[in-house]
Amino acid sequence: MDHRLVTSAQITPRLECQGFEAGDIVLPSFKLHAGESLCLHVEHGHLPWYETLLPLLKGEVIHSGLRIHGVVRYLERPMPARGWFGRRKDLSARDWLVLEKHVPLKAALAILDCVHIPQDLRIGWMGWNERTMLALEFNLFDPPDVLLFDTGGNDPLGVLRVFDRLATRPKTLTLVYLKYINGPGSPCLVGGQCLDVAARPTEAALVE
Amino acid sequence: MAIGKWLEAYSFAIKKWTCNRRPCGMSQWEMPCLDPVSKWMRARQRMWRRCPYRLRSGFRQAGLRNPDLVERFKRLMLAGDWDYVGQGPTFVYWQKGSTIWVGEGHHRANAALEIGRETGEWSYLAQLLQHGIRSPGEPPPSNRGRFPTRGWLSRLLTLLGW
Repeated sequence: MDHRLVTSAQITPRLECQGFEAGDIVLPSFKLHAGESLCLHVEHGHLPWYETLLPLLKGEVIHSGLRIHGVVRYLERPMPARGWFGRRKDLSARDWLVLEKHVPLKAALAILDCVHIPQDLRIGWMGWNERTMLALEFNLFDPPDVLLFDTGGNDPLGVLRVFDRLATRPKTLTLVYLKYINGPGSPCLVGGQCLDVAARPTEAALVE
Repeated sequence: MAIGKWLEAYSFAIKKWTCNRRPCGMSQWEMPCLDPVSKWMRARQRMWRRCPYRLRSGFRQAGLRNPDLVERFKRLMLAGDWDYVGQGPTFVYWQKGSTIWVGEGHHRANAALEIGRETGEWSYLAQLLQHGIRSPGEPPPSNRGRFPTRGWLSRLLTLLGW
């Protein structure tokens, strides 16, 4: 008989959604345990996904139909500040990791080496794919319980690089892919459950 | 109003004068500028307002990392060697009306923009958009920013941090 140690973290789902309507979106019901992944096909509605769906999944907006157990983090890419003396806030890749994300210098250099980004390159001068990979490496260095991510603005090569890297992620890291480019040739997250997030007509959303 | 009319009359007279002296086969764009007002008018025509699209960066790109690449892309586009179909999927953008937020592809968008400003031919930019990947919706407002170019104003703004 196979006696496997089952921890409470494996029993308790990290994300539990009972299926509900919020704003102009209809979220399906799902349960996500540690290490599982979900590919949410987000239909483009009246309100953008980053104003409705993202705050819900991040836990910034509380809804009784969605239970979050653990730390949920969105893959936020490094972004330079703009304005007077904004150049001073346009940190180098190394400083972004060390000063803003509090990664030890040695680990920061290892991360930069891994993504092939020169350590003195300012984040404002990086391409979107590079910024995505840098943010991803940071999130894999210090993994949350659930990682939310999207690939908006990335080219197909960048999307594949993200998926390839996530294939070797820590085993307990749960993934939620917000896929809002749903055309032919846009890949889904391999090994993940695919669900649709429908957008309600504007009138119905406004009446509520 | 009066100044505008005077400038138009002046530019018409200058154009007529230069047309009479233009060597056979040479377009008016190839003719060197002869007077400061024509130079100013030509510079005015090259201004960003002439572009049919309002270009913006979809992720606050501060500057172009490799400005020489723009020159190379420009040469390829002008020679007709640019592979719009093959390179298309690597050009990603959002669009709302005439506003374009560029995701991946700031260098080639710059090349097409410069060609458009210099020649008034915007089909290069239109082809880039036609074959590129248009993301649905718009980028998050916090990610939007100025479109960096090789121009002195853009470089000055980058230096100031805008």
